[in-house]
Amino acid sequence: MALTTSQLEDRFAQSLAAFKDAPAFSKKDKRTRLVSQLDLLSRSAEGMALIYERMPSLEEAGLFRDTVWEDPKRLVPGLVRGTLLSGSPTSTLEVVNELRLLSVQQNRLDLPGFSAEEAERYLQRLLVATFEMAFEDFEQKGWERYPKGELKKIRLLFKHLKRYIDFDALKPFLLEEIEVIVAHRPIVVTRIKQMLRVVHDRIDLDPRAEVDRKLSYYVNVLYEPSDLAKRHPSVEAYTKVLPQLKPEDLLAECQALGKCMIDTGLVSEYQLALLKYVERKQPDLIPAVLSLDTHGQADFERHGDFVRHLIMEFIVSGNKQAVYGLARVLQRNLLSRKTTWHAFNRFVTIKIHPKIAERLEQGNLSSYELTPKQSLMGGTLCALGQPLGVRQGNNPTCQSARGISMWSRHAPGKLINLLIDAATTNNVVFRFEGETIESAGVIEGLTQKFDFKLDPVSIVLVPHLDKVYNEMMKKASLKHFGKDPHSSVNPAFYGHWIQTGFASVYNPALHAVQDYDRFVRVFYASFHPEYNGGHHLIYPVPTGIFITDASANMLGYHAISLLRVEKDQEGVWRAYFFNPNSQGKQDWGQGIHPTVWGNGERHGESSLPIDQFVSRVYAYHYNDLRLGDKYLQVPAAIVSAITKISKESWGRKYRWV
Amino acid sequence: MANCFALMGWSLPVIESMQKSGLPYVVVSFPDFEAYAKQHDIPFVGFNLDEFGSHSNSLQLVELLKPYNADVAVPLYEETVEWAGALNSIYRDDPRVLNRAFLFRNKAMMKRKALLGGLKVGLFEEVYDKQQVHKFLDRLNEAELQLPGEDDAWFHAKPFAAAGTVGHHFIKSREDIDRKMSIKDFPCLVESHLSGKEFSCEAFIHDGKVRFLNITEYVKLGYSNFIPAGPELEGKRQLIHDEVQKMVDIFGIEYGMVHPEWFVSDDGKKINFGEVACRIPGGHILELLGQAYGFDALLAFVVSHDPNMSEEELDKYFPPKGYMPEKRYGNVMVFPKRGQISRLEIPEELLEEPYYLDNNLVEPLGPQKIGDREGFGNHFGTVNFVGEDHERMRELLKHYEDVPFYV
Repeated sequence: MALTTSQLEDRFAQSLAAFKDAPAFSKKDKRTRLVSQLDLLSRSAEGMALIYERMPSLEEAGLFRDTVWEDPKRLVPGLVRGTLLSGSPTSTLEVVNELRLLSVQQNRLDLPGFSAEEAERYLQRLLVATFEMAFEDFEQKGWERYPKGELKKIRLLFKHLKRYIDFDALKPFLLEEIEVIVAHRPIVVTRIKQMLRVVHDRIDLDPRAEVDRKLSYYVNVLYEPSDLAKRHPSVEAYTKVLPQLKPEDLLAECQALGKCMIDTGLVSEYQLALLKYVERKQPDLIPAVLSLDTHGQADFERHGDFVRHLIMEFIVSGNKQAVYGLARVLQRNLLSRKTTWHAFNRFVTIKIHPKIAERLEQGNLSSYELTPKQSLMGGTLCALGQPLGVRQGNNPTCQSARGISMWSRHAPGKLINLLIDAATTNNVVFRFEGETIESAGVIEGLTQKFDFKLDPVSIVLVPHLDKVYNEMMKKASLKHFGKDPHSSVNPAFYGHWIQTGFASVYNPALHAVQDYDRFVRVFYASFHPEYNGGHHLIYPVPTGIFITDASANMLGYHAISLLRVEKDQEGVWRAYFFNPNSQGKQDWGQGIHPTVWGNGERHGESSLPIDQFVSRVYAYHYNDLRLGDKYLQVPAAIVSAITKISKESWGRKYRWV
Repeated sequence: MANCFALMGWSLPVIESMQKSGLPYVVVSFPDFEAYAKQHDIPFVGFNLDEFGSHSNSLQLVELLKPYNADVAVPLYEETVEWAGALNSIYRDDPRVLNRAFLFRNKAMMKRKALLGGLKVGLFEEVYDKQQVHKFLDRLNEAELQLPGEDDAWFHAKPFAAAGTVGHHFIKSREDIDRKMSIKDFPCLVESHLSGKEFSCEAFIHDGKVRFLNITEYVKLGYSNFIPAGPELEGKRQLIHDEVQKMVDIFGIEYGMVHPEWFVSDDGKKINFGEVACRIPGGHILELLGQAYGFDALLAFVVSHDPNMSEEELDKYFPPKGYMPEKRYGNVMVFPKRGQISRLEIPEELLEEPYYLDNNLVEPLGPQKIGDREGFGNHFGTVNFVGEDHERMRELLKHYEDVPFYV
């Protein structure tokens, strides 16, 4: 027999009193105990209501003092999903913190320097950032690995929050979130699809309001992409009615659905059904469904049989985004490159290693059946079609994601070749300074839990690449002692096009930042067209950056690629780059906000004004043969302005000489 | 009443109790703690409380404590028992107080004293190398009238002066001697095994009399215990009380708290003396005791060292005489299993258990490797239970010893 709420309430009151009365040195232990009571309470609706009611006394007792939640201004809605799923005590404190902010929003609690409006805005952003969870019944696949009680706690929290937060006010944020994802075009679209499903299932949209209209456009891409689909909402009925269409109507249907996809990067069940239908009955309409332009059509005409084979064999409901991947592959004319063509032809005949098959099956988070082979082939189409759509998920593997993206853009044959090795032998081989490294022979690497919310190519390759990369780093640190190992590892790992010059802010022998002036100058002289003789980049540049938070505190290191330096429509020189963990909007402090759209970014790119970008770089490769004395012509004012920004952010953690 | 209690050793829970009581105190501990003490307004005297010996200068410590007007020393840890004994000898002008402290710190001396006084103890000897252990086993086997082919008699080897189970070996055969013991174990005490169920009790002594007796039931030594004990042990309260008083008389203990361990004989009619300590017991026993009886047991521990306190004054710090609580409080100390762990995972079934009270388990900062445990050290927190039924309590404590909280 479980305890009654009033029994729990007594215990909670005692525990709270013990915490409140504890001297500073024993607060921590008493807090842990109090949180274990809150954990129990938060598992029932009455308990949740009780915590909410007692929020003022909890705050007064200092529940959040000396914790990461202490200053509400520094809370980041985007991190809440992770903490909610990390288990108690962290998840419990996170839940209670949300009730705390709700109390502020409801004017039941005063937090100095944090207004009710700020609290409301935070909660709105939170509900958008955790949208799938907020409206989830947790019945979908993928949730079963979390403890039921923890999920119940999350469900109760959102139920409680939704009672107070006006839903209509969320719509603009929701729309913004969706537009950012659409502009950024990740390969994995689980999140946006979940969001649209929830909007479709649970939210009334008013066609007279502009935000609602825009939202319903995105919902319709998946749920009502055409009049025909509207009239025949079940995919079976839709498919049945296709043969009755007049030829011009069928063409119009193909074009309409193709346009939906090209505008959003999203593939609906209807479009898949339509593609399968025309593939059988009228293959000349395939380019229309894929919305190909003349370049794409030319490739289709040349390789029509192979494309039909791909559609027939490998694209199903469980990986229907591969339709978009296929369209992009044809647009990029990849099949007309000899190496890619041969590699792909061999690739489709492979027999997948059982261990890899197992991983691919684990990676299928959809509710549809999907064979490992379908998953991998579809995933490869996506990775090749959207090189900048690769992400690292919750894995600390930015280098590997950067590699996959780089190869997809510049060496698709090499990427497929690697995939064949990995998928058939569960092993890959790399050369490193005269030795070879096989991933199967390396033990250390991705030892922590692997986040499977990744595209199939990453699921297959990343564990191998991560091991190889780590091994190279280890060898390089020993062999080139006292030098930054990246300088020799990057060319060996990514390929010969990585330039031989290497600049780093840090001198390990001195344990200090040295010659930062030159570091900035060489960057400008190598990549900025106004100082490098008017040239664009030939290859992407693997670049190491400091990650900083909204207060410009240094958080760690990260690997990205600099793709191009160009003027945006306002005439500002910007650095456009690929960031494998980009989720859209970010705040790096000091007013530095990388954007993913609206400033000339192509799908998948992030960008910053070049000076802001340079202020976060710690290492890059450049061509030292072509440098000459160009770096001397970079104005001192630019250099000193950047130095100031750097010194006041990550630079605070370093000694400067 | 004491002018000022000198707490020998660093214990935050005791400091917390003293702060709340408002009684005057000063902490004596290693100078490393000084900055922390200052930060939290804890009266503090930094002193190297190294192992007590002929070189130890307790007079110097007395001088350092003079500004605080300290007149009662309270040992919190095994290692500070002699130091407290030395100070109290001076404060009470009675050199035998220090000698009594040695009793607690030298297990061979303790056993001899017990034997002299008529408590049943095992066959014991002080040994200095393995050779002597083998000889001891020869004599023990001989006394047990062992025939060829029969198993060896069981015995224990323990350091002269260490808390709880630290450095303890249970030897069940001749091979065990070489397998389990090494040079660093010597010298030590070896003692024949006393059969029977082991339990401990906490007796608060004032003016040579047992003022309050608690009986703790171990479910598994070093992992879990609950208070008050089940009816099997509580039913023997009078017997236990008498034996404890006998021991107190034999050892000449006047003030403080003793924490003896006993074995109930197989017929349940007698209890045999194991050993005794006079510091705060491990396993958060005083915390459980306080919760169960509704008093501050740590504070009671401190004040029972005060010879100047009257009986009436003392009563304020203890539960009413003869009071027996209805509910039992128990805990399980959680030790991660050997191997790699990365996070805390509290089992759902625990959260649905009505006897579950709370926990203070820490979250690991990241993946880490767990080695073997020693004594009561390095546990990751406790899970606490409360409920009336002793059988259910036993069942739960037993069950949760084996549940992995860290994965």
